[in-house]
Amino acid sequence: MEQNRINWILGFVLLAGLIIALFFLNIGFGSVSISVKEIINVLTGGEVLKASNQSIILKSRLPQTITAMLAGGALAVGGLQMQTLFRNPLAGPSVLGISSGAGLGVALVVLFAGNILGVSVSGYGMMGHMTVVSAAFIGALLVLTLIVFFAQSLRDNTMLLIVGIMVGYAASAIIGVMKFYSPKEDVHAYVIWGLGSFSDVSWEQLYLVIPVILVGLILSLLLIKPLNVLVLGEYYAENLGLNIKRIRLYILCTTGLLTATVTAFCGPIAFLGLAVPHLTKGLFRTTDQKILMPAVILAGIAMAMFCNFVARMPGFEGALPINVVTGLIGAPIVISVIIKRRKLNV
Amino acid sequence: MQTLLQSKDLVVGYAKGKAEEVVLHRHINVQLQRGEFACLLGPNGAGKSTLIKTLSGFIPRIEGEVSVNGKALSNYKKAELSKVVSVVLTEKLMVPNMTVFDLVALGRTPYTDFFGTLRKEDKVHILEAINDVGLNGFANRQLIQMSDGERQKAMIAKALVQDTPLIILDEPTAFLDLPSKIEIVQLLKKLARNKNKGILLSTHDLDLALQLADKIWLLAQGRKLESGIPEDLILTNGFKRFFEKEGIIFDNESGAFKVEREQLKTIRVVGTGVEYKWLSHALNRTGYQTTDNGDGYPKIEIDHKTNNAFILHHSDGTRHKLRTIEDLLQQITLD
Repeated sequence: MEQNRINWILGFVLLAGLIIALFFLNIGFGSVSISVKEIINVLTGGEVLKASNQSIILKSRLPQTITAMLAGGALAVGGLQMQTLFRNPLAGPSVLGISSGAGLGVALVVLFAGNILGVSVSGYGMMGHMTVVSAAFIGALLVLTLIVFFAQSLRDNTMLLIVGIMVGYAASAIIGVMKFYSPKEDVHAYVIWGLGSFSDVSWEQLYLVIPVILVGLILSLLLIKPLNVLVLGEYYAENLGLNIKRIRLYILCTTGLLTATVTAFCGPIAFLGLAVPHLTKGLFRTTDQKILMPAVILAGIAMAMFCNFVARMPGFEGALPINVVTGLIGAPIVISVIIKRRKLNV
Repeated sequence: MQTLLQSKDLVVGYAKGKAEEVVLHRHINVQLQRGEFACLLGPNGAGKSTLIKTLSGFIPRIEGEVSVNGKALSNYKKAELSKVVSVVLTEKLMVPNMTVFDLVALGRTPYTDFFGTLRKEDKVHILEAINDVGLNGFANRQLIQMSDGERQKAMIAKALVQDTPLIILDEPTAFLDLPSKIEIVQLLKKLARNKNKGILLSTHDLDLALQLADKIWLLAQGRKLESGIPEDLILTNGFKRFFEKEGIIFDNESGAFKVEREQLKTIRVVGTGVEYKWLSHALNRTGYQTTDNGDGYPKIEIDHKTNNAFILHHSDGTRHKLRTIEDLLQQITLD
């Protein structure tokens, strides 16, 4: 017990330290390097050596870093909830088909509109971006509604999981058809969206994203007790007084809101939501959501900032899409978890 | 004394589709008192699980009445019910990183605050329950490092800290080895007595139920549920009727199943004690009928004086002295 407590405190200190270090790395590194002192001066409104530094930090790197932090925390906690609800280590926020729904919305706008109506959204700049975001959000919410509808009639969580994955396949199939009949430039624009990015979110949009994600995170923290009980499976949970259908609805809506928001603004970010909970469980060695949930949020923030930092390392110059980095880091984590789990079962 | 669990003309089954209902059993009238340990016995597919799920409030009854402590089950709110009935299921729980303490602590869920914080008295309660099920010193052990039997004991401890007068277990011993099964069933009987709880266990382990259950409920497909104390059920041929299948008969004398076989030959066996019992067992198993009177030959004599050897008398008067039953059986088949 005491040993655990010390480990947990060490874990939280480690994560907090990582977040602070990665924050400065994210802001300081890039095509132009900026010193820590200068960063602090810019952020606290002190004496700034170069006016261009101020502009780089405030206009580009700070919003990008904040976006990465929000996306990381949101997706990781969504992944934790899905893994707990479905009692499946390979579940993530995308299993509900929400990111596919967002993709369908974007495809409709970018591909369909471009093809049939002759409007190229990618050519409209800021307005065009907002249209894409709205389309993605609406697509995601439509799929979420569908899943919630199924959740009301299905008792079995596994069935719900299958429905979510199938909805995702169906959406991908429709997207495939649209891609097939679309001109190259529009398909390219869609592919770029699909690779994800933390750099397209402006301050104006952040004022919208920050409160929504914060609400989602707070709602997640309120689900700590039911999530703890759900580890035992539906029957035991119900026997312990849980209203399974209602709690499942809350969990789906919370994860759905978080995933829909992140996907709408950043594109479908792969692997973060799946890998971070595993990494955190390995570090904290507990099933108690009171410890796990805040730890997963912090680890998600750190991991997203790390990926963003790698993507923008000098040499890549922002040329590396974020999904390439999350995939390359996430895949080995998932593989190691599977191998470790097999060892334990022997 | 108020009856803890009582059903009145209960009809159980499950919903199939929207409108259709599949009825499995009708006219179920059973009761369970505090301090009583009852076993629900029946073959696979008899509907044990459906009945158990109905009694624990997982699925709704189709008709009739189930009441716990005099109040209809359907009138309990979920939160209230969690303080009245606790369950242990067959399922193996493999959660990495979860300790026995973590698992048992979840049993306090109905009593803890919004975030599930454990108070000091909760912790005392949890450790006590862990000791009660015989897992002393296992509190910080990881579930995945324990045997199946130990994991089910932890689940029983979870049910204990839930502080319910009624504990219902759905085949908790199904995948356990024999010693673990015996241990678990003995533990349940002890808990029913010492903690004054009503415990209902569904199983298909006839032997254990016969030896330890206070009450037995017999359930088979297409038959009315019969309940009573084990001895009465034997004397009224309850078991015989329930388990009759071609080639298998329930022997009222031994309280066990017997496989009907064609008997080849009659052999006379002379002797006493445990050697006699197992020699007869071996001969019966290999298809011989045994008798201890008459002058028939061949005859087997158990020599209790010299190392418990077996002496085989052939019809022609010759004798064979053999050390093990295996050798004896071989000798008989040679003749």
